[in-house]
Parts: sequence; structure tokens; C-alpha cells
Amino acid sequence: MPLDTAFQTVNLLALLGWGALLLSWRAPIWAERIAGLAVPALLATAYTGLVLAFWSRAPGGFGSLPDVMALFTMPEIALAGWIHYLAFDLFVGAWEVRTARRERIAFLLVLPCLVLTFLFGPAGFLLFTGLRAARATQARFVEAGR
Amino acid sequence: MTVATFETTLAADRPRILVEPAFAAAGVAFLLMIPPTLAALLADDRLHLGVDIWTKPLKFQVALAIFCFTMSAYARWLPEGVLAARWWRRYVVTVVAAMVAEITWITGAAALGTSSHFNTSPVGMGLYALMGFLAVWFTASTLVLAWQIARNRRADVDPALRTGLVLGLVLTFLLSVAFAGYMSNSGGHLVGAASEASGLWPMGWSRTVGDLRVAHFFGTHAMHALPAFGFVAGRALAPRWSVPLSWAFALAYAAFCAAVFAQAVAGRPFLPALG
Repeated sequence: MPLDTAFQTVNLLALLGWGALLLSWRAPIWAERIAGLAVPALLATAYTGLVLAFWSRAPGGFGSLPDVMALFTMPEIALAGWIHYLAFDLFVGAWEVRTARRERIAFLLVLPCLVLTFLFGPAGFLLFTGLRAARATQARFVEAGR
Repeated sequence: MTVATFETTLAADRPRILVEPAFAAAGVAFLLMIPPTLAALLADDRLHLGVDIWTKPLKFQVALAIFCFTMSAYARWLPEGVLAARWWRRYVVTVVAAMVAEITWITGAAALGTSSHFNTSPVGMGLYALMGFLAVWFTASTLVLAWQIARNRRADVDPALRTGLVLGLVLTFLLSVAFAGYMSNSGGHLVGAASEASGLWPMGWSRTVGDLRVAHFFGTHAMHALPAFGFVAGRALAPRWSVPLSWAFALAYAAFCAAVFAQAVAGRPFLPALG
């Protein structure tokens, strides 16, 4: 498969997962199946295949910033790195939705976290963590007021 | 769930192929290795001895999964209590560990772009020797299973089926070790000079020269052919006929494997007509 086709395919897959998360307020079980398991597992399969096939031939390594930059000069490894982002960002998105449901956080509040996780993974995780902290603080005040 | 409750709940609600927990779990694990290996096959253009470098790990993953599910399914004919016995549980762990080490090295060697079998570097030779020992170790589990099934005199096991199971499992060990051992000592699986690019589908056996893998394949599958024959014979005939017939089939099957082996050693392809 040409790398460009592979790139388009994994992007489409990831979008499917994020679509499922957007609809999770209507269909939480399917969102969990699709975004929490199926799509990350498919992406992980593609990632593992690329690493098995190309890692031993890749330049660079994990030891220094120039090493890591050299690693990503190989298109197949760069694609694997991109799939790594897609898979784990989506997995974190699914975790946010799951955690929010368990803690009864309104979906509208989770939505900005999902958008940020989709675009800038760790920043979205940070926002969601901040949201939970704020709610925990608020809950203490409510308890103290009783 | 403890092993004892596993064994008792088993008969009622588990598929009959998932009887032995360690073998069943290993079989599932080997199946789960197939999708990422297929992805690697799709992405990789490297060849090894003229065939795609990922063909071999795939074949071993499929073969080990079939072996594990077969052993798991046959475990239902073990005498009562063996599945839960401490010696069996410990033994099975060593067998599964040997298979996991084997497939890890074969898959890893493909990733590194080197030979897992017949590797000539110092480290590769050491690993190859260790692999040979591990392969004999896990294949010998068929002998242990055969011994235990032979010990089982439960009336609900058809005598022809039991004959097929015991002889098949024993033959699998003897023929696999003999043929694979010969192949290992002869420095390659082909007898004669040829390219492998157009082997017999789907096994990839040579169409032009002798291929020792053919005998290895049939020898190892004695554990399927003989019980299948015993099962059918037991259904169709009285034990007076079906048991001796199962013995005769075992002899004929062993003779066939020996003939296929001799054919390869003589440098002749398995099915030249299809070449």
C-alpha cells in the first residue's frame, strides 16, 4: 500500500472514532466499543506492522533530540509516529467520555476537552483534568455549606 | 476462577476446543499476533530466500495456534483430575513458554531482517540451537498427552478414537523430531538448487527440487489425520474391526510420510505434475 493511501486511511479511521465520541451522549456503549477499543486496536495493528517492518532499518534513536529527529526523516517511521498520536489521542478521548459519564459531568463541558484532545492531545487531557479538579473543589464547598 | 471450578463448569458452557486453559490462552495469543504481522507483510518489501520475509512468522503463528487449539481440544480426553493437577499445570506453563520464546525469536528475526533458522552469526547460531531444544520440548507435550489419554479407560471414549489419538500424538512427536532434525542438520529445507519464488500454494513447497518441509508438514499433522480416521472408523465399525484398522492406518500414514521424506532426500519435488 502506498504510504499516502495508508495515511488517508488511518486519518479516516481516527475521524470515525472521534465521530463516535461526539455522539456518545446518544450512544455511549457504541462510542466505547468504537473509540475505546476497535479503532485504537486497528490503529495499533497498523503501527505495530510498520514498526516490525521498518524499525531495524530506521536511522537515529531515542537517545537525543537530533536522534529522534533523524528517526522521523524515514517516511514509514514518521507515519508510524503519526498513527501513535491518532491511536493514543483517541484512546484518551474515550477515557474522558467514560470518566465524565461516571462522574456525571455534563457532555457539553467535556466537548471542549475533546476538541482540544483531538487537536493537541496532552493539552486536552490537561483541560479535562482541570475540569475535574474544579468540580471536586466545588463539591467540597457544597458539602461544607450543608 | 480456580482451575478446579474451571474444569467443572467447562463441560456445560465452554466451546469444546477451549478445554485446556493454558493451551487455549496461548492459541488465542498466537491468533492475535497475526493481524500486526499481516500489517508488516503489507508494508514491508523485504524478501528472505526469495519469499516475503513475513511469510515465515505468519506460517509459524498459524501453525502454533492450530497446535495449541488441538492440544486444548484433546485435553477433554484426559483422565479425571489431570487438568487440575499441579504437575500438569506447571508442565503446561513450560510448554507454552517454549512456544512463546520460539515465535518471539522467529518474528523478531524477520523484523531484524535476518534468518531465524540456519543463522550463521555466533549469536544466531546459539539462538538456533536453543530454539531446537525448545521445539523438541514443546513438541514432546504430544507424548505426555498421548500417555495420559492412553491411561484413561473411561467407557465413553471410543476405542478406535483413543487408538487414533494416542498413535497420532506419538507419531507427531517422532516424525516431527526426525524430519525437522534431519532438515536442521542438512543446512536448509531444499535438496537441490532452485529459487523458491513460485512454490506450491499456499505452502510454498518447491515444484522443482526436493523440499524437506513436505514430510515435516505431514509428519506433524499425524495428530490430526490419525484421530480423524479413528473417529470415523469408530462411528462406522465395531471395535473388533475399527481398532486394528486404526493401527493399520497409522502404519500406512507413517509409511506415506517416510516415502515423502525419501522423495525429498532424493531431490525430487512433492507434486511435479502441478509444477
